[in-house]
Amino acid sequence: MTVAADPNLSRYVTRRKSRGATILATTSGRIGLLLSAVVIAVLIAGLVRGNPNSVHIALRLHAPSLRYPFGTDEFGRDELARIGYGGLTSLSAAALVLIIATAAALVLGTVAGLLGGLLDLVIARTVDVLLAVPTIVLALAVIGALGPGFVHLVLALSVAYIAWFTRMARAFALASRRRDDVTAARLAGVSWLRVVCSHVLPDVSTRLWVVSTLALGDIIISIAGLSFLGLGIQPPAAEWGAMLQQSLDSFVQAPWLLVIPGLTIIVTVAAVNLIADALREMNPQ
Amino acid sequence: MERAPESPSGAQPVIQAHDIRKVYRSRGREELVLDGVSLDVFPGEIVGILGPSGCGKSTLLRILLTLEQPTSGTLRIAGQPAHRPRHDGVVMPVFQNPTGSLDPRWPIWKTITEPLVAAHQRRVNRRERWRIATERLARAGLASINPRARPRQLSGGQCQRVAILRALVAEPKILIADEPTSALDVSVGAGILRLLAAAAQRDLAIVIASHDRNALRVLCHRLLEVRDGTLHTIPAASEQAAARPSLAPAET
Amino acid sequence: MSRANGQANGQAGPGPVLRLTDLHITYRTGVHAVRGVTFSLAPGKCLGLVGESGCGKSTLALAVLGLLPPKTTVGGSILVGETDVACAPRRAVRALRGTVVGFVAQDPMRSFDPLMCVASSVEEAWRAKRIRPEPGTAARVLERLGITDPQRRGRQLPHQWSGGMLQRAAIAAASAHHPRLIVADEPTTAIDADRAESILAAIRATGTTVLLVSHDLNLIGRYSDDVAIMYAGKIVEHGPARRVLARPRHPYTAALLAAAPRPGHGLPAALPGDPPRLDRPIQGCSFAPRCGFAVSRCTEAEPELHDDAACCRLAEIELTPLARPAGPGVRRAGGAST
Repeated sequence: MTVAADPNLSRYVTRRKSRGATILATTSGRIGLLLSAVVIAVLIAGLVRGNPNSVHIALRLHAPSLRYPFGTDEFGRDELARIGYGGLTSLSAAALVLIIATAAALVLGTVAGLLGGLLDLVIARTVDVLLAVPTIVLALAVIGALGPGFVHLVLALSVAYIAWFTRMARAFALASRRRDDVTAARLAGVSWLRVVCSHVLPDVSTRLWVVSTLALGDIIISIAGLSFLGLGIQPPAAEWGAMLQQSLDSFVQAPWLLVIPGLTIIVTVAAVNLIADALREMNPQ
Repeated sequence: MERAPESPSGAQPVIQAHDIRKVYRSRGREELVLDGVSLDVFPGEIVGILGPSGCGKSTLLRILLTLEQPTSGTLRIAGQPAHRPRHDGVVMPVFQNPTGSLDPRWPIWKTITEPLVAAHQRRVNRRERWRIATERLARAGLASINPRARPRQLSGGQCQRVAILRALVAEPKILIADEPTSALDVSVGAGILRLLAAAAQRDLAIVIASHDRNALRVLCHRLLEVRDGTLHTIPAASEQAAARPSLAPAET
Repeated sequence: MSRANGQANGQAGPGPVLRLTDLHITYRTGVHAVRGVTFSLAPGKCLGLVGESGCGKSTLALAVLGLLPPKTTVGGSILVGETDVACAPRRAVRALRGTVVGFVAQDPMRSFDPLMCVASSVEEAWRAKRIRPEPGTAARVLERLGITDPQRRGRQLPHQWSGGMLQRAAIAAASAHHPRLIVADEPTTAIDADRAESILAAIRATGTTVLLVSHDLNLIGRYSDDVAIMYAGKIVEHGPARRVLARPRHPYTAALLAAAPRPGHGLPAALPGDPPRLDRPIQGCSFAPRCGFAVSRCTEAEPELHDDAACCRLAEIELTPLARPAGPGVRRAGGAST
């Protein structure tokens, strides 16, 4: 039977869209990228201004002007520079927490979900206990034991978020284990290790990353919050939350010292959440 | 005991199930799903299992796939007792949901040849896997599909054929198909039935469950029905099989 | 009460209950799902709309109910009684649902609130129209549809009922107000084969005009008066059910019939290839790439429905799907070559 040349290809061949194009396709993605652009612009502007810690007592508490677009704080330090360097600190801490917590959760969750038994019991119940404690309180406990500072902050928050991510990773691993392609591979004789590395881990990993990026905004706020309490990044290092704390003394005279770091945190967290939302829309599973 | 009057190749049965019982216990209640099922399947035979949803045919199939253990009774697969799951490619499955049984991230050439990387197989490199995949696709009438395609770029019928090719690539002795055409259109399902019929000609035993009585009638040597947890033979299936015309191995 | 409703919403007059004229439906994604469908449904008749996945039949059924997703472009007209659903205001269309047009969905397990007892769900058909149902109404309609012991069973939850019984409850709810038209979208697909026929019988027993959407030509052909076969968004054959099943005129209909397994006729014939993409304009006959009778002129122009079938070679080809060929495909008329 000869078939006429088909000008209408099978409707099931779809074009693959690049990641970037798809983020722009969603409203949340568009707004998120816009806000991110604003934040990045501010950060760069701050970073090029030089030392955020150089003190000029004569210039203290100057309102925003052409010379100092964000004004100066009570020590005469350039607020814009402090926002820039503070952002670098906060965001790198947040990124580190996200990466460490997700990676650890991937391993723990997959092991628990796949192996079951005693190991699963131990991991799952430990996670349950940790989840009963609010994130900040958990982090406080760790910092209380280790002392404040950048490294201990990252460690403390990683511990707090590992519990949450592990629970999700475990659920994804359990679902993955029941998949038909995994069953077929096992029946064919493909080793468990190979099946896990080629089917289960990539699946759990993708799903976990989509969900954990939703927590990034939360992490940024936790960092700012702990630093605000004096338990995170220590002065004189610049950090948004710490800057908020310092502004309380003089905010009647210098309200910009309160408003600017606060706004920066809000816009950054909003941007991060919107992009994470767009990523989630792209990955419907 | 269900036994075909003359086995197509006169060899030992490749599935020997005797008095299989399966009880599910949940929340303190017991549910008797299978109550004394016995079945012998010979190489080259196609056996159909009919029954409404929830009657236990899926449970029986899972037991034959060694994915579940019966509560009591004996099962021998290819002459060996099946106390534990068989992970040697002797029994291979075909599932109801075609797209769900393929890894969405893998190109289909990789999926089709995955059983060949099992521990007990001889080593094959990528090029050889590609060659084998292309050859099998052509033989199944899917030469127009790009072997690098991913499942979401294929139709349901094409995915199911890929799943069947995967099940057959390492030459298993038994194929267990659980409602392979239920999720597909009739014209597409017809192609699947023909593909399965062609596969059985190479001494492969096929057990296929479905609620479509007519589909099983035209495909199977023997037809059995699950009723009240036991298997009952449905007569007059063998004469249909004898009247089956020979068919071309490939589709145009 | 419902009788009065029925009279108020378009009398059971002599005109067609449903009339589609050159209906075109394009989704927001650009998929042209329905590409010019015209038919009318006379009172009391049952039209079986048959086709495979992606042919547009479900889209059409949803369109009749005004349930298409927002931003879907609709061209042509859908006349239900006197109202054109395609362009009527939303309130008017909503008033039609339940009273003039009833709907039976595919999966009964998903049509019922799992936390509400079945009788309560059925009574929602009245409560949705701000009518307080008299006690025992649900039991009465359930009994009419063959549910035994309806008082007790009505108080059970959906998961305690079988699929077939639930579908009867769905039919009861759909026909609560004696609508002029019932649209049933694949009502037996989720039901076991041996119960399917009784569901269709129950639908027909309501006596209402029915638009029956399905993929199973053989089953639907036995319960419909007329049958319309859809392919790639168009109707390719439309005629009395018995005639279409016995003597199909369009190659696709013949292929559909040949693909259904029939004991005693060997393996069914498969239909190779896939339906065409609907997000691009289609050149020539949409079935030509898969048609065993295609010639060069088939790719030039898309044939219109003429003499019950949309095929440009109607007069030349002879289809005999019921005699099984030795190989896949249908028998060619002598000497045809491409």
